[in-house]
Amino acid sequence: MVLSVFQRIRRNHSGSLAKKRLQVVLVTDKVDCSPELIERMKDDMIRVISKYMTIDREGIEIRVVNGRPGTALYAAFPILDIPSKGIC
Amino acid sequence: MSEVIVITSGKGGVGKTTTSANVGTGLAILGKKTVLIDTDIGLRNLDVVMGLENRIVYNLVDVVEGNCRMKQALIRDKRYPNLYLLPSAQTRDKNAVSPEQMTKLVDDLRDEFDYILLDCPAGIERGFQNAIAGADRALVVTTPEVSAIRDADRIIGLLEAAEMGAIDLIVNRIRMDMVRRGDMMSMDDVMDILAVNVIGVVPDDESIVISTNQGEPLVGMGSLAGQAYLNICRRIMGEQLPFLSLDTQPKFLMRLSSLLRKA
Repeated sequence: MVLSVFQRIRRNHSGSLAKKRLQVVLVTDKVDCSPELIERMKDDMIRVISKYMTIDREGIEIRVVNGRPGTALYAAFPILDIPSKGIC
Repeated sequence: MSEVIVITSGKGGVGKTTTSANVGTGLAILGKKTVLIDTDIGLRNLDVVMGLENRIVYNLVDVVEGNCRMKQALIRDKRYPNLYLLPSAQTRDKNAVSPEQMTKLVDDLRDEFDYILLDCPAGIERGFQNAIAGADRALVVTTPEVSAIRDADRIIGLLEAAEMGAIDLIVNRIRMDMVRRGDMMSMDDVMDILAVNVIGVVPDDESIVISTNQGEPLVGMGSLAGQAYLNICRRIMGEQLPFLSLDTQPKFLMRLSSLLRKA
């Protein structure tokens, strides 16, 4: 009983899982490439940005938007910390 | 000034027809002369949701083909003096009408009506192209599910490509108990993903099933869904209104569950 309550709190909520899955699938729908490619690109971007600042890897959002000027890739990396002696 | 609004979604079964019926009725209640057009040729449904299925003589295809005058095909809803329905044809298919013919039909109604609402069929083929052709703005209906949101995103892309004047989203069938548990995407989540203005949120409410069974739109009635629809109508008319609080749970329980979530 105690364990099941604990598991309920700890378990990964399906709402946020749905959101993450959708964000990936919408990007791949629009740029017509595989989810693995998006994940690899995301990993590369994380590696580059992490050289200069600490980012929240769980909060990263990647989106492809079909706008008037054309298709654009938007990526948001929540910043946790910018080292004061860094390049910034 | 008349406004032509298409109600669309991509995916079927998310509540386009119910939304059309309630938004159309709501605008009529608010004093606007409104006509609802069922553009789903071959799969006629708006008439039965409105409770007007026994009054059909002519339909949209009859008007387009010149078998009757527009006035003969329009059904006046006796319950609301401002409300009219142009039913779809049941025994024809989508190719019976072209986007150019739809645009002309809609333009012919502009002088007479404040709002012309087009209930769009599911899908992105001819029926969709017909429905959006003459529209000034679009209401995209979705539910907080991955399949409906994916299709809504595709529809929004197509509407943008067609240079639709304004695109607003209605998040239908939201269940606050599940959102609170973290097992359903919230309005904010949907807004994040689709990056489009949300014009209304409608709770999953059994009163909608009952009202559809009876053929009587529930907009403006006592239920939460009825209020949500009326608020959408006011926002369409340009009013700035805060979103309804869909929380019906006692405050103590809410606080307890938010504490548990933080743990």
